[in-house]
Amino acid sequence: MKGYAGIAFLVGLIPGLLGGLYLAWEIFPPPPGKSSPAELAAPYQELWIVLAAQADAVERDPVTLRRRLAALVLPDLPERIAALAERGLLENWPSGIVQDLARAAQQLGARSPALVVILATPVPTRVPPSPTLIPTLTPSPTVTPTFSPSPAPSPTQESPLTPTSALVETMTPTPTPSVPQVIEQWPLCETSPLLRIEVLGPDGKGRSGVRLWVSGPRGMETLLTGLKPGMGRGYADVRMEPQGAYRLGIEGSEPVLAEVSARPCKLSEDQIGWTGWEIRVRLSR
Amino acid sequence: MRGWKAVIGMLGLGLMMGGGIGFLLGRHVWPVRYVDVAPGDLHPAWQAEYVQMVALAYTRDRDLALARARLTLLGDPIEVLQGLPGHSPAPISPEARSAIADLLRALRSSSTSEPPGGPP
Repeated sequence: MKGYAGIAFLVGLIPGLLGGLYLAWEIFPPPPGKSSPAELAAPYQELWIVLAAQADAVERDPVTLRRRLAALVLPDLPERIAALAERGLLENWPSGIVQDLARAAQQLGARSPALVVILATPVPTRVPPSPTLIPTLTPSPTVTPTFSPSPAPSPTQESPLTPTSALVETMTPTPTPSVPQVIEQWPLCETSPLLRIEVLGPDGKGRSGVRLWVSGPRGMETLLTGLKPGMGRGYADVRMEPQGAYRLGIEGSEPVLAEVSARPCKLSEDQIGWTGWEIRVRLSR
Repeated sequence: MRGWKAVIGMLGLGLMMGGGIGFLLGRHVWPVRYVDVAPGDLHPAWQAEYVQMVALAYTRDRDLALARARLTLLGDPIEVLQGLPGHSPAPISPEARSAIADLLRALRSSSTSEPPGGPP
């Protein structure tokens, strides 16, 4: 009978254990409010990074910056901050925030040409439209991850750079000194049209860190030259929508430098393409 | 008959002991871990850190509406700022202290300048 009692004890112990775990996890879980930044939802983690970078720009305390960011327990933190700075640049966040992020990324050891360009660019006095740097959703805490933030719009500057292009025509406007001017522009017939801009200094060499604006069907976009060093120091590009009309200018100088549109063109005998453009701009100073 | 009673007793004892051990394990050894939380679910120490960062960011961008929206994630912005010294376990830097005072002033003056009753 003693053997039966022992077996009965074990038979009771196992469902008891499972029931106890169920009670602790599902029926009476500890109240939320003891989480660390590592458990924040992804949009709030981005907000945490932005705030830490902005706070560091005031406090200038690398130890505090590292402590705040280390709390996120992200394996590739410097690269992630650098990517956030680049995203801010493409999405036209205020320059101050983008530079704070770039500085924080650099302090943590991130290295990229984009960071160098961002940090070398003077902050303009005109403040561009401020983005909503606060997530609008309020996810409820869950034991299993069920939260899925809406995907960020993909940067428009990552179109393939080797399209099947065919030169259509060349146009050279008369140069007028003293203001930035288009010295050359020509269309290219391609499958996915790009607006390529090359900014040259007065000495004819590519100039990095020049902010350009492009207004088109997607609204106003800001470009910065030099983010694709393989394409030249003064290079920037943006994907064009078929049939879309685009206006190009240099930030801080009012006049529109060029107006182009992506029109249908004949790529080959049986293939229709769209006109992308290559525009070369020379700065006066 | 006594034997069966002993068996049932041991079964009940096992259930109770298992339940107790399971509850303790679920609470202290493998506790529930909340994921995808909002700043309002952070530990008070981290909430204090968040508030300091919001105040310092306000010093940088002077965007009162944004600072207010960020603080609202923790509750009433003015109460959150006022309660900060009590919640912060780490010493607050002089820059953060002055940023908090500055933001508190701006929030108070904006709330007093707003017409009562809210928008029509």
